[in-house]
Amino acid sequence: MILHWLTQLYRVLLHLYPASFRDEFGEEMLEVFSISLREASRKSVTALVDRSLHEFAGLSLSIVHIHKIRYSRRQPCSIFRGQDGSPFERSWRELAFALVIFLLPAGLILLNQAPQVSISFGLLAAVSFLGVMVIMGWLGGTPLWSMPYVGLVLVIAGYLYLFQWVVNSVAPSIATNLPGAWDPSSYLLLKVASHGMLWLMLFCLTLLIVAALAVFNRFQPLLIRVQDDWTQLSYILYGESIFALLVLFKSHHLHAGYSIAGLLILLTGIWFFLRSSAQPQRVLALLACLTLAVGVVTFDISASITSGGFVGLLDGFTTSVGGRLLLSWVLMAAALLLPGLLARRPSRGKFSSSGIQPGSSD
Amino acid sequence: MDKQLEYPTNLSLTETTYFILLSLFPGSRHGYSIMKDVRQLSDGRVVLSTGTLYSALKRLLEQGWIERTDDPEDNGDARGRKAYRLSLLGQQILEAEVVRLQGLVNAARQRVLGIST
Repeated sequence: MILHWLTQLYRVLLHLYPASFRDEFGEEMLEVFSISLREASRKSVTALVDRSLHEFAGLSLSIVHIHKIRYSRRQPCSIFRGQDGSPFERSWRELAFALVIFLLPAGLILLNQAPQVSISFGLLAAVSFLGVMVIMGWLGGTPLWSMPYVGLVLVIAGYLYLFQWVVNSVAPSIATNLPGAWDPSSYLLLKVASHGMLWLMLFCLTLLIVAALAVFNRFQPLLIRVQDDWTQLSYILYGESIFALLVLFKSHHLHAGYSIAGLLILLTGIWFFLRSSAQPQRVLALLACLTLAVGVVTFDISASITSGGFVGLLDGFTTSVGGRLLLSWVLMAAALLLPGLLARRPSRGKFSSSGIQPGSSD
Repeated sequence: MDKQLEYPTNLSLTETTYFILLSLFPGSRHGYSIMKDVRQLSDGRVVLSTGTLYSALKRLLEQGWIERTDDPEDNGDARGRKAYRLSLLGQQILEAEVVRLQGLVNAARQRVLGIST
């Protein structure tokens, strides 16, 4: 009886193998296991126990081993295959690195929701992680996955230092020169100027840094990539949208659920960007997801400041808040599109893992 | 086949692989027979579990060192039981391993026991 149950247990555990392995060897293994236990049971109970333990331990190790081999041989994930059939092959690890930048702030928002949990440690860990990823990307020649990290670091540094300096030194003079200062339209104009300055400054900063990086040999592949495929500059700037979503709109007291939804929508933008083969598709993916993410956040803010619901959303656009949100979106979208407008020459529109296209020796 | 099979001559087989190949040297065997033979060949030191055996068999099949065949001991009532046998490449690798091990033993005999071969 015990042999029967052990065999049944073994039969069930065989399902932990990959299906292909199980189909090929499952029946044979069950038969060998069964014979092996029968032989042991003829000797003694101790021999049966010993054999059973040995078999189940071996089975566990074997399952792990087979899965490990299968994972190591895995084909590059299909989402990286270009839609025109030309493969843009990246590993799952690289995809995970590219996406985690959006999951990390989402995790921090969740952590912040938990009662009696200090977010300080989480923030410190997130900043450290960001630093580690940027350094890893730098050491690896700034691969594609590291670009949103570069964008995020740029926007944080730019906001904390450059933007604050610009606002403190320039904005007061703009405000005093506005006709009818501090009336709603002038206030909106001031916000247009300040938000516009932020994005223009960040864009210029990104361009400057990419150009400066060209001086160092390690970063020359990045410059060649950007020259060859201007959407990669948009991709860097897209990393800045995380900051925009969470910090620029922070004063509106976003609900955690909407913020996380916005981040997940931004994440899908990266997904579609990486799987698209044509440059317009890539930028469209970024633009569409940025628009959706801003839309979700706008809905939340509009619902908060008015009676809520879709009516509130529509009403929200009539207020200065709605106008400012719309403006932020326009500026962010413009920043994503600007690299295309500034592209000096038509590019070949293909990604290359080395950064240099075959035949691009010109 | 005129084409000379190419295989790395500096392979160092694991004990499990070595004994499985050795077990299949005289002819084909089915799974349980391999398990018993490996235990016997190794004086009870290498006791394979079914999982370990079939992981190794899968790898050896993929490497082309062994082949699958119908079990000669299958009396027809089993469900088409399969057996395994060495391929030509597997035989060459086993022979190369035996030569390698012989070289190791010779070196040790010369140095430790002072016996020249």
